Amino acid sequence: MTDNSPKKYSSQDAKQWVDLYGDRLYRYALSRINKVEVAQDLVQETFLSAFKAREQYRGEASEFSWLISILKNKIMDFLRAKYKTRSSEQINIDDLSVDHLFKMAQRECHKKSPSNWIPNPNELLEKKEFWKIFEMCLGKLAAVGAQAFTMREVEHMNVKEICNILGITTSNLYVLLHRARSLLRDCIDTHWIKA
Amino acid sequence: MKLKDITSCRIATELISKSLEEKLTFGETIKLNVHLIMCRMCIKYRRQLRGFHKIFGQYTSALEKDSPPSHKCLPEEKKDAIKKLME
Repeated sequence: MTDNSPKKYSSQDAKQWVDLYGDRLYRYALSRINKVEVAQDLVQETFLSAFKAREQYRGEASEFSWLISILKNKIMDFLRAKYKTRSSEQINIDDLSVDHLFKMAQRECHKKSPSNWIPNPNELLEKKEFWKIFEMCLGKLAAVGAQAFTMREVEHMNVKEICNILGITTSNLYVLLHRARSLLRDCIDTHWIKA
Repeated sequence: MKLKDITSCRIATELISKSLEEKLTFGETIKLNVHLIMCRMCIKYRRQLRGFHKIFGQYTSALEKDSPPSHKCLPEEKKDAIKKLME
């Protein structure tokens, strides 16, 4: 006879999640919000919500996927609250300057040519070093740029949603994304040692 | 055509980025393509940006596979504090 009832998660199981997934959730939180205290608090809230809701977890998704979906919601709530309170004050998109990447002459050409390397999705997923460099480069962006960038490029949210959360116009968002991509591309191309 | 009428790399890279969000207008497409005929650097730039656009969405899956994580760990004290709250 097989038991089809869902696994019951005990308080002990929930504690194990902290050891199993705590570091990875924290890394993810840091990639979205580059503030140690905030990232730690969001991970804590995630585990406590998961702990309270553990009866509802049916095991359809992996434990990690389930936990990270809770964390993503916490991050969105945090960002909504953060940018709501400063909606009147213009977000300073000039924090993210790309001036140093271009020559100042008339044609504003690249100072340094991008390499011939083409990022290959099949090859990079498994390469841990690549993701560390990604995190390192992301950490160099100004907060709002990194947040806009991860919402768009990591989470594939649509432009309207992102503008709503950050309280900015589409053209502001496009400037932010362009600059974040330029800086990140330059940083990754410089640091990633091509295999 | 005078040199100053030619789209700069700075404008071209803005258009390349924009093309990842929405379809460029006819005028923008012409501007970008004329620039790309003359500029190998922007061609490489576009190739990399398109590649990255496909890759960064894998970040969450990459984290799931990366075990044990070797840097940027949640401090042990924090983990203990969280476990205490789960009593």
